[in-house]
Amino acid sequence: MTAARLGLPDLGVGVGLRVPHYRRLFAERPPLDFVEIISENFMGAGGRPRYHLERALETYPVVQHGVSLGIGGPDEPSATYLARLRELAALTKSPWVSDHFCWCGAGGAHLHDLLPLPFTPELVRTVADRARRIEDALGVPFALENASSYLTYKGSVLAEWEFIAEIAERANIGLLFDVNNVFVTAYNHDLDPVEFVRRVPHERIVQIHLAGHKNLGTHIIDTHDGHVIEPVWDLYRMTIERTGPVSTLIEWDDQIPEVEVLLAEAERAKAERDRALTARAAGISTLDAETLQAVRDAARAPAGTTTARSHGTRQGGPRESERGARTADSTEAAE
Amino acid sequence: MTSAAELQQRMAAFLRRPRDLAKDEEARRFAETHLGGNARLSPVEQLEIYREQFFLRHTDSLVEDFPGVGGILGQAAWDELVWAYLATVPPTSYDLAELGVGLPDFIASREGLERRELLVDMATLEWNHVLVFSAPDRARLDPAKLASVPERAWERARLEPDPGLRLQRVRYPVVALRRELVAARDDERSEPVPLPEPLPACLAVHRRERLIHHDVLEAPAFELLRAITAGEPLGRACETAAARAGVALEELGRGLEGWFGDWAARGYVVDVMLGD
Repeated sequence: MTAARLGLPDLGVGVGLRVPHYRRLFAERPPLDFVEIISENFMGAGGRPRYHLERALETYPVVQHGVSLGIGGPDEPSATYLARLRELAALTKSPWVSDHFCWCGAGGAHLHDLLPLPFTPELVRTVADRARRIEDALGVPFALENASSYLTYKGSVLAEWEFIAEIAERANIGLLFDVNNVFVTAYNHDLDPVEFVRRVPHERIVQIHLAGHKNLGTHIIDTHDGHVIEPVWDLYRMTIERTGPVSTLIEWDDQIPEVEVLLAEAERAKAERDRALTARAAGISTLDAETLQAVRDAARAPAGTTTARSHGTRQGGPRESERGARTADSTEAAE
Repeated sequence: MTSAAELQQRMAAFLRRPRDLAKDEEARRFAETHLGGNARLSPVEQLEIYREQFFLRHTDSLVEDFPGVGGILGQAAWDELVWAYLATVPPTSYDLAELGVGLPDFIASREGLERRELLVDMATLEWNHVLVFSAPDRARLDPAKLASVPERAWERARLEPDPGLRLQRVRYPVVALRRELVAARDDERSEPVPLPEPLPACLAVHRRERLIHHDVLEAPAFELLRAITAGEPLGRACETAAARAGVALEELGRGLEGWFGDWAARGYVVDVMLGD
C-alpha cells in the first residue's frame, strides 16, 4: 500500500516567492510554512538571483517547482538542464522537485509554455520512463503537475486523470495537484471537475497548487492574477478530505498584490484545509450534493458563448523572473 | 498514424507563426485533423490561444530586458522588430533570460532600419546587463596575492576577469539615453525622449554589490582590459592594447599602475595566474 504523500512531509501552507515581495518577506518574516521558487529563475550561478535565494533559504523552507522540463516533448530532457536542477536541489534541500505533465518545444525551439500532451499509451510509456530516470538523476523525489489546457487532441484515448494516474504509478512518482487547473481544464473541455478530483491517485499527491484565473466566456485563461474562486476552494476541500494534510501553495504571478493580500489568501487556504481535515477526522464531508452540483455548474461554460479570442490576456506563471536589470544609475534600491 | 513527436514538431512550427492562425489555411487543416475543438472554439481557435501566448510571453520578456531599444523604436516599430526576431531566431534555451542573445546581431542585420547604430549600441548594452546580472559571484583579488607576484613574472602572468564584467565601445551615449527612456516609460510621459548625437566612449559594464555600474575608461585602459579578458598574458596584452589604441608601449606602461589600482578596487580582476 502506498503511504500518504508517498511518505513525504506536509509542510503546511505556503506562497510562491515573487520579486515584489522579496523586501518585506525577508525583512519582516511573516509566518509562512514554506515558499516555492521557480527553479529556472535560480539555476544561474550567481548575482542577484543567487543572493535572493540565499535570503529565502535563511527565512523559510523552500520547495522547487520547474516550468521548462517539457517531459513529454519529442526530445529527451537536456542533461545540462538536469545537472543544474540537481545542483540547485542540493542547495535548497527541497524535499521534492516538481514540473508539469506537458511539452515545451520541438525541433530545437523552446516555446516556454506548458503545452498539453495527447493522452495516449505511447506517451504514458515515454513520460513514465523519463520520470523514473529524472528522479534518479536528481537524487530527490520527483513530482509532476496537471497543467491547465486550452486544446484537446483527437488522438487522446485516455481521460486526463487516467493518463496522470498511469504515469505516476508506473514511474512511482508524486503528483503536484493543481486544483485551479482542474477547474480551468474542466471548463475549457466540458469535463466534470468533481470526477477529476475523485479519480486521481490521492496517496500520490505531495503538493497542491491554488490560484486565480480569468474567465473569457468561451474559455478560461490560467492567469494566476487574482483570488482563488469559491468553486476551486470547494474542490480544494474535497481534495484534502481525500488526501489528508498536504502541502498547499498559493500562486499569484500577475497583478501581484501587496503582501497582506497574499498572506490573507494563504490564511484562507489554512482555514479551508483545517475545515476539510476536521471533516475527514470525523468521517464526514464539507461538501453536500448541492455544493458539488454548484461546482459542476460553475465549471460549465454557458451555452452559446461566442466571445472567442484571448485579446491579449496573458497566461499566468509561474513565469516571473527577476531579471529587470537594476543599475547604479537608477534610483532603485539594491534589493 | 501521426506519432506524438511528429504532431509536436508540426504544432511547434505553427505556434511560432507571426499571424493569426484562424486566417492560415494550412493551420486550420492541421487543427481540424488533430485537435478536438468544442462548441465554443474551433480547433484552430484553440491552437491560436497558444500561438498568442507564445508571442505575449516572449514579447514581455524582451520588453523587460530591452526597454531602451523599445523606447527608441516606439511601439509599432518595436512590435514589428520583435515579431520578426522571434520568427527568425527561435528561443532555444530553457532560460527566458537568454531570449535576447541574438537581438544585437539581428538589429545589426536589419537593412534600412532607422538609427541602426544607436539601436545596436543600446541592444548590446542591454544584453550586457542581462549577462552581468546573473554572472557567477567571485571574491575580489587578494591584495596580498597581487603583491607577492615577482616583478619578472608579470610579463607572462594572466589576469582572470570578473565574470560580471563586460566591455563595450559605444558610439552614442546610450547609458544616459536608457535612463531617460526608462524614466519616461515609468512616468508614462507622452512626449518623445530626444535621441542624442554620437558621443563615442569605452565602457566597462560591471556588477558590484548587486548593482550594475557603467565605468567610462580611457581607450588604452579599455583595450588592455579587452586583451586581458581575451586571455592574453600581460606582456602581449600591453602590445595588443598599445597597437589598438594607437599609443606607444611606453605611454601605455605609464598608466598601468593607476589602472591596476582602479581595477583592483572595482573588482574587475579576480585572480592572477603566473606563466610557466
